[in-house]
Amino acid sequence: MKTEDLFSILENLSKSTKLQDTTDQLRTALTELGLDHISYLAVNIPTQKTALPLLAVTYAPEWQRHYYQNNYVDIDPVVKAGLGGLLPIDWAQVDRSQRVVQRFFSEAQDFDIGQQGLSFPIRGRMNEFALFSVTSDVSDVEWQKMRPTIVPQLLLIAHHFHHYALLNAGVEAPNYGALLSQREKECLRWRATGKSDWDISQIMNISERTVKFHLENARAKLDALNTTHAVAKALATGAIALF
Amino acid sequence: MIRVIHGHERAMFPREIDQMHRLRKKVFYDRMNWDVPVINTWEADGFDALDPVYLLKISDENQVIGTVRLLPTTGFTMINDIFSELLPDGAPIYSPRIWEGSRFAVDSDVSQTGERTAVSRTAIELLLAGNEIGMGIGMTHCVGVFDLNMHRLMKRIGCAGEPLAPPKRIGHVMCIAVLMEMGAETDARLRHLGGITGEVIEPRKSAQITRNTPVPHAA
Repeated sequence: MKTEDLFSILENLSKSTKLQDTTDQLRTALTELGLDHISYLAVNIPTQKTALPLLAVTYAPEWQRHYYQNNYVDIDPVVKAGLGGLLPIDWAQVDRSQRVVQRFFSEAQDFDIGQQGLSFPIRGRMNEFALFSVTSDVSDVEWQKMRPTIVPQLLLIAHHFHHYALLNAGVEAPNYGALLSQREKECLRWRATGKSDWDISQIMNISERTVKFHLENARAKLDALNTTHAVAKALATGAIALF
Repeated sequence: MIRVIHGHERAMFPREIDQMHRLRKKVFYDRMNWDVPVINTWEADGFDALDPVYLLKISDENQVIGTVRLLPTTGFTMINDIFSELLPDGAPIYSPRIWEGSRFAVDSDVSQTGERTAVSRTAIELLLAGNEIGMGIGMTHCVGVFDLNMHRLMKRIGCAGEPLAPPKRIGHVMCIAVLMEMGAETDARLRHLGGITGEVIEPRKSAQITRNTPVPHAA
């Protein structure tokens, strides 16, 4: 499974599909990365009339019920650290000195949540807070080996997921594609003609570092997977034109 | 060493947080004469309310002598929401892989021998720690707004970053938006500049990960 496929699963999420179905598909796809479950929680979504969070989880329904009945959201240390902090969280690092927290994790284990977990806090421009988490049941040694690779990948997947979850919930997200600067468009256009970052730096008389910066910013604004994808999206949406 | 404090955990570090806000008042208000919000002995603004990641340089005398705060550009940032005129076309920066460093302050009163060295060492350590965190999550760049004088000082040290657009006057201060590439190359360059080997981030138990965060019960 390539990251491209993960992105296309999310792009299929339109207003008519259920967020939960997409989450289940994404979960299946992520098993190839050695991951078991996904959970997504978003609060303070502008379209939600109620204070209820936007929620999608792939955990066993029994665990979800147990979690809900025991008000575990109040003691879940991952939710606490994740909605408060900015950097990704490794569940292994969470303070387990409190007895309720120990019990929480051991019960989660009983419901096959997985031994390992990573959570990605998301802060958006509509004052929303979100948390995208994945779990895995690999050994500690294996986890330490795979974590450096999956964290940067999952950071993008988490934000991509959030973007589509908001669209799915009917939130009019700001059209960042329309907010591309001239420089960003220029870099994308040159990439579309097959120029390398170095070529572009020479043509535009800026450093290669700055070219990379403009392309990364454009990639994220277009919600694209990589630069090639960003070029394609920019051309398709008319943000840039070759001729 | 650099102490990393997550904004939502600030109550656990009252002394460091107090010293940091005092240092910021001293640097930005007293010395640079910036138009910044001051509450008694503190400089503090709305971005502190967003619980940023604070990097604090702690001296051997256990004092905060340098600081910077980090925020992702997906949320609210100074560069997008206050200083957008410093950006090319005023177009916002928006990426989970690009973060903003703001309120970069170094205490120039550190009375250690060779003041210049102490100041540059602190600046380099702060950048190195920021880069370390960045590498842990796959950050590609960091952006920030600098006072032109500060920018020149950073240039002399050799770590000023790259201007994004020409400098502009904001209020009575000439400002410039700069970008810094994150990654192994930056790590090597900064270490070489500062003659720094070994860890720069103080080891501390925290849920949030940095590049070298170990799995505690491994092996």
